Amino acid sequence: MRIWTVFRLTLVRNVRVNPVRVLVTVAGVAIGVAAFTAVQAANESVLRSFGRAIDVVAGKATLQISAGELGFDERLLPAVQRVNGVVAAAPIIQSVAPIAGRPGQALLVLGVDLFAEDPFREYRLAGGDRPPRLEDLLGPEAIFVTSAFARENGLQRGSSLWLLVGSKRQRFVVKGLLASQGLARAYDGNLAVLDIATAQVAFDKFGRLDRIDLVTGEQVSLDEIRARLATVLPPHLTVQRPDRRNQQVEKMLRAFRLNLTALSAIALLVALFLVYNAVSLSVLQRRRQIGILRSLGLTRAGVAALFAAEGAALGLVGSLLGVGGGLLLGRALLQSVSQTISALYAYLRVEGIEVAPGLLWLAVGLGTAGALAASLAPAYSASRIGPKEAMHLGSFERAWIRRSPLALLLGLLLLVASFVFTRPGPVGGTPLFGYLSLACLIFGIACFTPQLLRWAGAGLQALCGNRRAPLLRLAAGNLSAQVGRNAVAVAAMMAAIAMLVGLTLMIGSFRRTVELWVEQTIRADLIVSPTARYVKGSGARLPDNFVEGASGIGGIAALDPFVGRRVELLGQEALLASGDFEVVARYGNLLFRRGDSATILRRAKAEGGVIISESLALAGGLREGDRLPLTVPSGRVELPIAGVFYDYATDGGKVVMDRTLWAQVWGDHGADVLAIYLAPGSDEATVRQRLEALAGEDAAISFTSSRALKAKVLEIFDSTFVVARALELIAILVAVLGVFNVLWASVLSRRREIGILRSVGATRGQVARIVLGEAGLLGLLVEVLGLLAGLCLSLILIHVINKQSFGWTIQFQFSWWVVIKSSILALGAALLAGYFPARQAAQMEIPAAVAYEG
Amino acid sequence: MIRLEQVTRVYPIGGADVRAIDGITLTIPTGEFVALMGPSGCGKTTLINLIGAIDRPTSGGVWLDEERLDLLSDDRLTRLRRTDIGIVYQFFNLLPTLSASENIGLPLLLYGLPAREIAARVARQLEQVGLAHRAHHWPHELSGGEQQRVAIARAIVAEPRVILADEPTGNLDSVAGGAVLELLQRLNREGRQTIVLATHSAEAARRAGRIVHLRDGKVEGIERP
Repeated sequence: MRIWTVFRLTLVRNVRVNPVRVLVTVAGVAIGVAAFTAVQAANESVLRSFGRAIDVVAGKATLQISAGELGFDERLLPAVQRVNGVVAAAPIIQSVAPIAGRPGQALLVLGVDLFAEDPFREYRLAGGDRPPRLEDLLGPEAIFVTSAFARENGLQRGSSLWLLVGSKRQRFVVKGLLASQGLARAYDGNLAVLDIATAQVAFDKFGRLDRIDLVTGEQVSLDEIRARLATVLPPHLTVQRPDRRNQQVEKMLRAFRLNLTALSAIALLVALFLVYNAVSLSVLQRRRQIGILRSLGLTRAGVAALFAAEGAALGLVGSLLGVGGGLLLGRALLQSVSQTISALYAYLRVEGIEVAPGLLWLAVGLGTAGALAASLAPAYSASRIGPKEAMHLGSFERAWIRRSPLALLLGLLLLVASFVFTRPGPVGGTPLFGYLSLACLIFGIACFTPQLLRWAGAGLQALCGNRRAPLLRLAAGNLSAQVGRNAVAVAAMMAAIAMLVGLTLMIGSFRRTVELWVEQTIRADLIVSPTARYVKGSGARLPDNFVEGASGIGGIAALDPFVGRRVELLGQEALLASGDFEVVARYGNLLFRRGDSATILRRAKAEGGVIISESLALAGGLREGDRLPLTVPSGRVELPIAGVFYDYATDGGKVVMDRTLWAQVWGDHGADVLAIYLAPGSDEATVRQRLEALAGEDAAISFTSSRALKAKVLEIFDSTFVVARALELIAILVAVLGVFNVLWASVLSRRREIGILRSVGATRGQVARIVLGEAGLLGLLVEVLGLLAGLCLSLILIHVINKQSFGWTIQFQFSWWVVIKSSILALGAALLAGYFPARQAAQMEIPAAVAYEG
Repeated sequence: MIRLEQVTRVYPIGGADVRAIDGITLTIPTGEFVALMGPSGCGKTTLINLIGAIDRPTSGGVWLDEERLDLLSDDRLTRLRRTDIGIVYQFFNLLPTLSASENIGLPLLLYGLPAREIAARVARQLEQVGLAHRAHHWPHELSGGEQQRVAIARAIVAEPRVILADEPTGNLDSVAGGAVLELLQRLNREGRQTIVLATHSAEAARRAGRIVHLRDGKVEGIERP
C-alpha cells in the first residue's frame, strides 16, 4: 500500500511532467497490441465462421459419408440406410455457385431431399411466408434463399435468380425465404436450398452425391457403425464425424494463420522495445528522485517495484486501448483475410468480427506482461542507485559502454544459435525452430547496437574532424556517447526495417519464382473453363459435348483436358488431378525437381504412375521412385512416383496422373478445364469464336489467353500479401514512435547541454541540425543493420519457414529496390521523428536551459 | 565598454510579475574587472545573462561598445556569444559527451575554424589554464576545480572582449576557488579583457577592481576595494 502511494505520488505526477513520452509509449503499445488483436480476431472469426457453417450445414448429423470433391454413386444410399444403427440418412449435393453478373458474389447451394431432411435440419420460412406447396418445393427451377440474402439483393418470392452452375447461366425462381436462424445464418446468409434432383441436374451430377449425412442410434457406438458402413461402401469413401471437417479446416489454415500471427507478434515486440526504452528514460530522468526516495527509506525492491509498475501501467493502458483499436482494425483485416482464404483455400463468407473474451484478456495480458517484462531490466538498474549517489547520466551511459563488448559477444552467440535453428525440420508441421531462428537473429543483431553505435560515432567523429563538419561531429559524438538511450531505439527500428526488408525480399523472390513458374508452365494458348470455377468449391465442369466438339475444331493442335478434385490424402487436403501427359510432354512444360519434363511425363504414362507436387513430397516424405498409396473405388493401390514438380497453386499438395489412368480408376472421361494449344499459323481470335459458338449462348464459359491467366495468377498472389504489408507498416509506425520518444527525451534531458551550446555560440539552426543530424545518423545505422538483418530474415523465411510451412521452393532474388525503399523509409522516419524534438531544441530559451538542474 | 541604461527585467511567475532587475544603469569600461555582489535572488545571474546576450531586458538598453544588444537579431547575438563574450557558470556546464579539449574547442568548432587551427588554439588554452595533461579526459574524470578551469578555457578560447563569470567558485573548495579567481585576475591583467564576476562571496569580490552591490534587482552601492 505504501508503494502504491509512492507510485501514485511519483509516477502519476510524472505523467504531467512528461506527457509526450507517456503518450507516445502508450500509443506504441496500443498499436502493437492492436495489430496482434486484429490478426487474432480475424483468424478467430474466420475459423468460427467456418466452424459454424460446417456445424449448421451438418445439422444433427452424427456421421458424414463423402469422397471429397470426387462424389459417388447415389445407388449407395439404400445400402447405407439398411446398415444396422443408421437411424436416418440424407443425400446431399453441395456446391458453390457464383451469382451471374455480380463478380465476387456467390452462394453455397445445398441440394437436399426434403423428405429425408426432418431428422437433420430445421427450415423455417421468414415471417409471413405461406408454407410452400409441394410442386413449389420440387419444381425444376425452385430455390429457397435466406431472407438476409433476399434483402441484400432485392429479391422476393417469385423473383428470378441467375446463378452460374456448372458451365452455364441458369435461372432459378425464389419460392420462399428462409428465416435468419440456424442453417440460414451460415456463410453470412449467402446460402440457398433446392431439391436434390434439381441440384443434380443443375450441377451436372446425374446419379451422383457429394455427401450422405447420417443420424445414428445411441445404442451402437460410432466406431461400430463406421465399421459396418465400411463393409457396404467402396474403399475410397470416408465416414467421419462432422467436426472432423473443422479440424481439417484448422489444419489447412494453420500455416497461413501462424504466419500472420508471427508478423503481428513482431509489431508487438517492437512496441515492447518502446516500453523498455520509456522506462529506461524514466529511470534516467528521475535519478535524483530515486536518490531522495532511497534516502527517505525506500528499499531497493521498492524502487524496482516502482519502475516495474510504471512499465506495467504503460502496458496496461496501451493494451486496453490497443484491444479496442484491434477490434476496429480486425474488421478491416477480416475482409482481406477472408478474400485470401476464399482465393486460396475454400469458399468463405464471414459474418463479421467475433472474438471470445479470452482473446481480449490474452491481448491485454500479453501487452501488460510484456511491458512488465520489458521494464524489469531498467527497474533493476534503478534499484542499484544508492541513496547518496543520484545516478549521474554519465554513469548510466558508462555502464552501457562497459557492457557493450559483452552484448556484442551475446549477439554473436545468438547469431550462431539462429543459424543452428535453421537446421531441424518442422515440429508437428510447424516451423518452430524457424521462428526461434528468426527471434535469435533479431535479438542477436539488436545486441550489436551498443558496440556499433560506439564504433559508428567514433568513426564519424574521426572522419568529420578533418573535414570541417562541426555539427555532424557533435551529432556523431552524441551517437556514441549516449549508447544506452540510442541502442534500444536503434534496435526497435532495426527490427521493423528488418521485417520490411525481409518480407519485401521474400515476397519479391516468391513473386519472381511464381512468375518464372507461370512463364515456364503455362504454355497453352487458350484456357477454357467454366466461369464458376473461379470460385473455390464450385466443382464446375465443362459439358462433355463441348470437350468432344472442341477436339474437332480447326486451328487447334492439341487439347489437354484437366480434371482436379480435392480429396484427403496423407492426412491433408490435396488436389487429385489428371491431364493428357502426352500433350503436356509435347507442347507444355512442368518444372521438375529432377529430370526432364517430357521424359518424366511419358514414363509416368507408360508405367501408370503419377507425378506429385513438391509440397506433397515434403509433407509425406516422398521421393522420385517411391510409391504413392491411394484409395480408389477398386481398393488401395500404390502408384509409382515418376517425378516431383514445383507447384505454387496449392499448399495442400497435388497428385497428377495421366487421363487414361484417371478414366480407368474413376470412370470419368470429362474435363473441368481445357488447355488449348493452337496449330502453327492459326489465329487465337478465330479459334475462340469457334469455341464460343460451340459452347452456345447460355454457356458460362471463360476463354482466357495465357497472358491473361498469368496476370490473374499474379493478381491473386499480390492480394494474398496485403495483410502482411499492412502489418509491416504498423511495425514501422511503432518503431518511428520509438525514435521520436528517444529524441524527444534526449532533447529534454539535454536541455542544459543545448543551453550551453547556444550560450557558446550555436545558432538555433545549428542546434536543430545537430538533433536532426543525430536522428539521421540513427536512421543510417538502423538502415545498415536493418538491411543486414532483413537479408538474413528473408533467407530464413524462404528456406526454412515457407519451405516447412507450405513446402514451396522459392528462388532467392535480391532487389536493389528494397535498399532504396528501406533507406528512404529508415532515414525519412528517423528525420521525421527528429523534426519536433529538433524544433523544441532550437526554441529552448538559454537562461532557463542552463539553470535547469535535471 | 558595457553600458546598461534603465534596464528592467520582469519574469511572469505563477500569474505575478517578478522584477529580477529593476531600472539598473551601469557602465563598465573596457578592461575593467567588476564584481556583482549580493545575496541569492538579488539579480546577479539575470544581469550576467543580459550582458551575455542570452536574455533580453523587458525595458531599457544594453550596449556592448557601440552595439545595442537588446535590438540585435538572434543570429547576431549568437555570433557575439561565439566570438566576443565568454561565459563561465557555477556548475561548469561542460558537455559530458565531449572531452576537455573538445569542450574548449566547441565555440571554434561552431564557428567553423579548420581542425588544425582549433587544435592549436585549444592546446594554447590548455597550457594557460594548466591542464595540458588532461586534454583528453572526460568531464567526469576531472575534479571540480579542473572542470571550472576547462570552462574558463572554453570561455576565452575565441579571445572574447568580455568574460562573464557567474559564481565560478560557488561549487569549489577554497583552494580550487582561489586558483580560479587568480586565473581570472591574470586574464584581466594580461589579456586586457573585461571581466564581470557575479558572486555572493566578499572575499572573491575583493579580487575585482570595483564591486557593484545589488539588492532586489537594484544597485545598492558601488565600492572600490
